Amino acid sequence: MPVTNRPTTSSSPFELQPLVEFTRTINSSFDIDFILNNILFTLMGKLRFTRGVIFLREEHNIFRVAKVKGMHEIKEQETTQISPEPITEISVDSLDEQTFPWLTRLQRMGISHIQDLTVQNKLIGIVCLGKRIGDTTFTASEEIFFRSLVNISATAIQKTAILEELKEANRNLDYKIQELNTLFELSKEFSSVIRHDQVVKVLIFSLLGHLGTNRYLICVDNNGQCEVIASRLPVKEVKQEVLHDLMKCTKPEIITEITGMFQPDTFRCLHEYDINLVVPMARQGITKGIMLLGKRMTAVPYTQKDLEFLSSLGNLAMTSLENMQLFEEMLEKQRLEEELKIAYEIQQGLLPKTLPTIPGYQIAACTIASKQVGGDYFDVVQLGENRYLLVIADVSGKGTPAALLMANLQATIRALAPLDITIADATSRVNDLIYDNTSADKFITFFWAILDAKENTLKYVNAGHNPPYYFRADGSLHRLEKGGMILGVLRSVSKYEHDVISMKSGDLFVLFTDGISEAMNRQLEEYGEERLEELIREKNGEPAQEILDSIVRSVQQYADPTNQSDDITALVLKAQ
Amino acid sequence: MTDFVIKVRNVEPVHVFELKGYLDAHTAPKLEETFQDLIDKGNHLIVVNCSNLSYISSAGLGVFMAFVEDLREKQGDIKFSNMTDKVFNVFDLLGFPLLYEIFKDEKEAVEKFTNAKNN
Repeated sequence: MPVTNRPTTSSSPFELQPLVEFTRTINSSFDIDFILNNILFTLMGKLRFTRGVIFLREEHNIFRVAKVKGMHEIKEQETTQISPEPITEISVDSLDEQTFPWLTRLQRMGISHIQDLTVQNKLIGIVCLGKRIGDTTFTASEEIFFRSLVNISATAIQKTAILEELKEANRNLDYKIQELNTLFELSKEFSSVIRHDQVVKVLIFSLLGHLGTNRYLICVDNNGQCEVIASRLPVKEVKQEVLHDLMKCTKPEIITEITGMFQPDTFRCLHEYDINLVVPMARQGITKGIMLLGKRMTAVPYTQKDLEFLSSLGNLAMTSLENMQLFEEMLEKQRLEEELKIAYEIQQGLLPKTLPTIPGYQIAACTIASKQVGGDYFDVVQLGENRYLLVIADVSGKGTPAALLMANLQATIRALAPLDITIADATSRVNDLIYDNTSADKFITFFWAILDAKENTLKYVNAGHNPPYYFRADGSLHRLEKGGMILGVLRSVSKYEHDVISMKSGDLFVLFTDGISEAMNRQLEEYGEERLEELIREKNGEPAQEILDSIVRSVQQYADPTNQSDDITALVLKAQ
Repeated sequence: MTDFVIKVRNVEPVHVFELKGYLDAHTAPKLEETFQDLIDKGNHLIVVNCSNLSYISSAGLGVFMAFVEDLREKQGDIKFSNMTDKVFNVFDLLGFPLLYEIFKDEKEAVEKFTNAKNN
């Protein structure tokens, strides 16, 4: 404590009552402005000063002018440097100018008395008074009053500062909770919605609401192209180069001229787009998309805290978008597989379960469906006592559409076959029916024949199908080519031709589809008709079933087993 | 399933939205639809009465952000009224009181629009 030797005068006795009153008043308030006003007004009123300033310490040697009364030389809120030395004397004149160089300025403003605001030996501010009316020196009791009042004030000021800090901390906490709520809500929502556009919508609403902006662009990498999935910008077109450049970012960036990683043109464009912030959307650390955001409508700048939050949000969104895409792809695959299963079942249902026994002949046939289910079809139907219908066909397309067309074909030929018309006329009728009932891109290569097992004749029409082999018992080879155009392309304008073959014992017929002749090996070379012809010649002496099995085995051995692209179908007929 | 109801009242020339329940990411698209519908019909003066709004999330606030610019360009606006402390706290935390006028009472908000129109 400084020692003052001035005697106490009876004219100004130390008054306790005003101090108690003052204490009660300032302790009843948490309003710093009210407290500071009260300090200065009470001191100035009681001690007859016309000027007063209170400095509050911001950090080490930075003090802020918190309250000013009766002077214009200094403004509230301005900051100044003050060395935080303990102030031992009340009178400015008694203080050493070397220790307190900042006092000179105050002295020039007429400040004559000062006292530090201290709480637990910590300097929190300084109270300054000046231009006293009457006697400029304090009486002992005035000095005690001054010191006591300032000490009481220090505690009150500190109390409001702590309260402010608490309020600030509380607000930060609330904000953090709001951020977490947003992230939590989005992850919940992302996992429950199954539509891509809904994810994007929810993401945008959360961004706009949380940040208080209304300018944005969200784009994702789509095989090297930056695909904009949502945007609201003052321009119509966004340059791909700019987006590509921005895709380089790995962490959120507030766009300033000094962000060195982007091209100069990118800055110019972002300025034009009214964009202030770029946030990467990453998955497993790789940027797969970006969110561009405009300034807040309140103009409050973005902070590091915002960037952390946005980074989490961006990554969460990217994960959801990718998951959704995988999910959609999986659904599509499942749907396709389901469809192929149906197509396969239709095809299998159309093929004959057993082949009729034909006296004097051996017959064998099979279809091996490819994964995509091609449109191969064969049939053997007994028409009368000795008459049999043999059919082989390849319907265009694959999957369900092919299977349905195949069903259509089967119904048509089974309806027409028993009628008393020639096979050539029947072919025209089949063609017209198929043509009328399908689109122009649907067609069928088709071969059919009526075998008369008593007369030993084979009457056939070939409508654009791979010509079947006819090996005569004498070793000569003929192809069954007579007929006309493919079914379903044009209405029948000219008649289909037919041919009749008289068969002898040992004659062999092999009907097949292009799944055999065009089967490919790993080098993408076709199996080819020559190879087939050679094989049949070699196996000619064998029973029909054995010949069929050899063909299928040979083709399967030749072709790439992982990539059977078409159905394999063959029908073998041998005259005994 | 959703705990959010929007009722729209016409208090010429203003449309009052009465929001009830939870306005969050899940229910925000519903509010968006109502806004879009109203704006498509040429209505630009909107008061949002929040007396029965029990919760609002960032996504809910985002819907207002998505429309306010268009509305203001057409000399319209969105004003809010009858907020509970809990809802106001979210508005305040995200700086919305600087962007929107918030009134204690729906009547005041509506009158602000009608007075501005008459002057």
